[in-house]
Amino acid sequence: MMKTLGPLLTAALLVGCPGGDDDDMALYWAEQTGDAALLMDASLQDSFDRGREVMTRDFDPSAGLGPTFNADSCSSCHQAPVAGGSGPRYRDFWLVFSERFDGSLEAVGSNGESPVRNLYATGPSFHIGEPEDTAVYARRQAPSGLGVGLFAFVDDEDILANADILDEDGDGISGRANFEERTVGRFGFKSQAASLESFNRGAMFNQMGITSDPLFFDIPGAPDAFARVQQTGSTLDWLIPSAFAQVSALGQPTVDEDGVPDPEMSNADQEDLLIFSTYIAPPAMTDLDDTGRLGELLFGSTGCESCHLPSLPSTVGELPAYTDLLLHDMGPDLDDRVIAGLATGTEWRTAPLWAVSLHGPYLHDGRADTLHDAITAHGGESEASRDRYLALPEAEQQAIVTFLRALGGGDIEDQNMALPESPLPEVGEMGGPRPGLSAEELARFDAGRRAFDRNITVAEGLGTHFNADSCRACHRDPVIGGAGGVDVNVIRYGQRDLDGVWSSLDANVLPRSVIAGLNPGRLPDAANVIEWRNPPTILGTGQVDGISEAAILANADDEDADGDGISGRARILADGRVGRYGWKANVPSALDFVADALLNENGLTIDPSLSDFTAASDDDDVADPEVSTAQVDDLTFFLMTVDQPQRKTAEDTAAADRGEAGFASVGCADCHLPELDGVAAFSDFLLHDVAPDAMVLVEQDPGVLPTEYRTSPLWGLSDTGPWLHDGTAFTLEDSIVRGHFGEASASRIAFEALPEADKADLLAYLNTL
Amino acid sequence: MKRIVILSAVLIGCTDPGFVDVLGEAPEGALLSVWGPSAEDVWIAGGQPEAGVLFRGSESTFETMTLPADTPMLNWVHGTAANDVWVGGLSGTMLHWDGAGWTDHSEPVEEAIWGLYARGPEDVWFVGGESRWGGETARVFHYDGLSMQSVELPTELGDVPNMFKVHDDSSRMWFVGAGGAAAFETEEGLRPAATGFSGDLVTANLGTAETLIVVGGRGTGNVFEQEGERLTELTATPAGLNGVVGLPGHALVVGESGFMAMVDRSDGTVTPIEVPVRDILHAVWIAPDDTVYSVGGNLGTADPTFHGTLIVGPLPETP
Repeated sequence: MMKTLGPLLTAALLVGCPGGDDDDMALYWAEQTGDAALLMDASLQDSFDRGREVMTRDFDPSAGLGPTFNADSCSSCHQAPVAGGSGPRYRDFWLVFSERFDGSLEAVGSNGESPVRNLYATGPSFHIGEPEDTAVYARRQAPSGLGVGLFAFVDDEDILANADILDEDGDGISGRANFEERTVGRFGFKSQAASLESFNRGAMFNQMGITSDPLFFDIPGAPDAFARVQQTGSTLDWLIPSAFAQVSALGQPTVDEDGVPDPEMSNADQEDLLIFSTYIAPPAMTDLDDTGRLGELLFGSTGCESCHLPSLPSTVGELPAYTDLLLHDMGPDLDDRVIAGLATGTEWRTAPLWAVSLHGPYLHDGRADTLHDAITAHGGESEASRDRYLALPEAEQQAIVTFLRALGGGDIEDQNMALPESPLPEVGEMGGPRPGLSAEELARFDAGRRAFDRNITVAEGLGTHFNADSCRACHRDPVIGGAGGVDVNVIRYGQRDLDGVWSSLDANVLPRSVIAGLNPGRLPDAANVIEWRNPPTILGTGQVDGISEAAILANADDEDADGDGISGRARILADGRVGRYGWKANVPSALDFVADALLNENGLTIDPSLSDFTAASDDDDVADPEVSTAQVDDLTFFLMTVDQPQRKTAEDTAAADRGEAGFASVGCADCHLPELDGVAAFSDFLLHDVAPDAMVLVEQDPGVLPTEYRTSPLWGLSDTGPWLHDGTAFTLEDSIVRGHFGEASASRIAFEALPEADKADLLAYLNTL
Repeated sequence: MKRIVILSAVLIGCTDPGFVDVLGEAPEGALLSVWGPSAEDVWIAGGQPEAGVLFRGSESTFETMTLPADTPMLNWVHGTAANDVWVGGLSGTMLHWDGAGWTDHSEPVEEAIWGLYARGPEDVWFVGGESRWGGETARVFHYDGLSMQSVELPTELGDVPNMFKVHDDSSRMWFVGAGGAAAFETEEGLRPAATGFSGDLVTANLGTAETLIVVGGRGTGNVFEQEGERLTELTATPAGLNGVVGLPGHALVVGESGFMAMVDRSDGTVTPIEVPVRDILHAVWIAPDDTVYSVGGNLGTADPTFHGTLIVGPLPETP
């Protein structure tokens, strides 16, 4: 449950809040984090709710995802602590440029039109790397959207009023506005966008490959301001005129060549998303204690307030955002050479500080783990203020941080996705604990779940290269511990020569991210085999752990002695244990699974005496082992006790019953055993040669064919898409048809031969698992 | 990168020279170029993607010229006299008017011709590139009175999708385009010009100035001056720029959202000029009698059909 502030409590909170004159303060905040600001007209609630659905909608290629992308939903990046928030470090992305003969930068981003480097490509390529001569990698964090949309209600003049371009007051701080088509910019790290609509559209295109048409609005004062709204059938006739300035960007339609008609997002969806992103509120500011009040005074006396203005006037009241929305020269250390509108490489918009503590890591590139680190990184115009801060006694520095945490969300500041007071899922609920745990065990389950959910910092050992900064990052669909979307696929690669001889290239994995200061890895030009690996659900891991090796071995038929065309062999590991986890059944136990994932996905080491699947050391500066044995125990306990996905009741139980019979008759159940050693995972946990010959695959492990995969458990199937090892099947039928060859050919052919009604019954059954 | 200063005064220092919206929203299509051999003979090019349009007249009176069948949208018009006028448009369209009729010099390419400059009847340059309607690479052509030749861009410019305009600096031809690409003519071919700029350079013009002035930018505008064999940034504007005319010590620029301004070339000061439209202004031209014509429309938006804008007014006084 999210934190709720009741009316009486909220009234009290406004007394003595930071930000000055309470009487002028707008109802900028919401009663629950992630809801609309109280100032929003109630008539917009339905649109706001639909907008949240658009924000969290997973796009697949049939809906326009790609041809290249970093995310499959808006909330993939804007996820914390609620949909519309900011992105953890693993969601950072890069702007990439090559350098031309005259020193100017040429964008070399994946979609050919923007500098955004996309990690994924749909179709057979899976990844399109940036050119070898890429000279500039400018890192960007996914910023928070909480409260940002309210800047739409700030008049240009009120931003310009604080500009002091020539530093005429001689305080060392200038500040100037950025613009977009004559309107003062306010969105983006460089205030490069004046319109939230154009900002949304740009992100959709650059990060997801989702195309859209501009919404048509004229700017204030222009004749017939509403006429074009009516022409385009827009429902946005409720917007107050001051908002029009922010949705007025007469941008071009975005188009791509992925085979899906453009625009891929309808104007109606876009309008709802616009409402959501305009009104989603930051948490209310909290009352200051003595330390906080001292911090507020010091925040002013050190000069922070010169740019982080306590409030900005707007047409909906004073906004205590602690920003002037102007560009400031932040010095050479923050120069990323990227020009955006009028902003040069060293110029950045004053970051809004409301709810700042919710959105670490900090700064545009997430280089700062803590608010103290972020302040320390200030330079240029803010150098004097930074020096005054650094000259303070530590307690007074901490007072400023305390004050910052009071600017909204400090009470829920956490490194977890699950909010601090959110209850554990109930027994029987997806992601909940197995039945029968004692109170003590439930406490351990909670601790393990939080460890699983928690973002890991660089100081704790994250990296240097990593795919995720938490376990939850890749296992959160639809709950903590679930599966991962296509946008957290691991990219594996290698080289196969003309004779078919395989060669590994470096690590064979392209990490999605690196710690600050490093450039992301680049696929070697020699790589000609690229393959995705999709994170499967870990729900029910404990049950799998409980399956005896004898039960797994009992179904092995390496030589197909029974002549049914299905062999299946157990993965016997070097130490003699039977592998059962991972797409190649290469991991034998939950503990080893934890060790393997921490090392390979997070760049974290554990005590090597615990598992062969870790390393004694890694390539960062943090002492090894980086994860304590107690933390490993917590994580392992969570995996061992998180319950299997619960069966669902079909809408048409008769159809599902018929589908169950079909599941057996076409042969699916030969490998997807409905029960093994009392565990209804729908897997025999054996390797089968099932990939199509035409699929060019990475050779991961000696002794395992590239076409061999562990029979994937089917429990929770309907909630764990996309499917197949590479996450390229976006429907269950597609996963059957495209992913079952070799030993599974007969079953696939039998499925394809079914009448459509029988296929539908079988799919209905699968959806109940 | 040179830091450009826009004084806040630019947003309020408007003048009212009396521009008139001549056409309203002309249904013939977006209007992209204006030029004339005389003050009484002004040509305006534009149209819908499938149907180009060419207006001819002056001030508020214009007639539609007959074009060859299937002429697509026209993007630029320029010439040396009333009987030596060229137009360029989508799909490699290049047409010549000899005072009596049209001659088709089009090239069989998908790319659009975005700009052209006629230095003489036997010395005409055309540039273009990709558009929403096709093509993928920058194109440069030269007509020598006999035939049309494709001209290579300097390799230093890389894979440029577009060159937008070409203009004479009184001694050599200059070419500007996407991603800050610029080049100039030499006896050995085209050579790259340093700009240090990554945004689009949309238009170059000499006008009555001594050196070329170039504008561009999307969302925000950028103004460059020719300095020898390079372009140097002079100032920036709060809207992207598409059109420019050079004046002694100044430049008149137009761009997005009906933005028009006078730029002081001595210090980069930008003085906006209020005009009665908010459409994108694509081009501006000053007639010999100092009447200013600026054309635009809604090209570049998602509207299924385009409309055009023409505003006419006296040359604003320089601040």
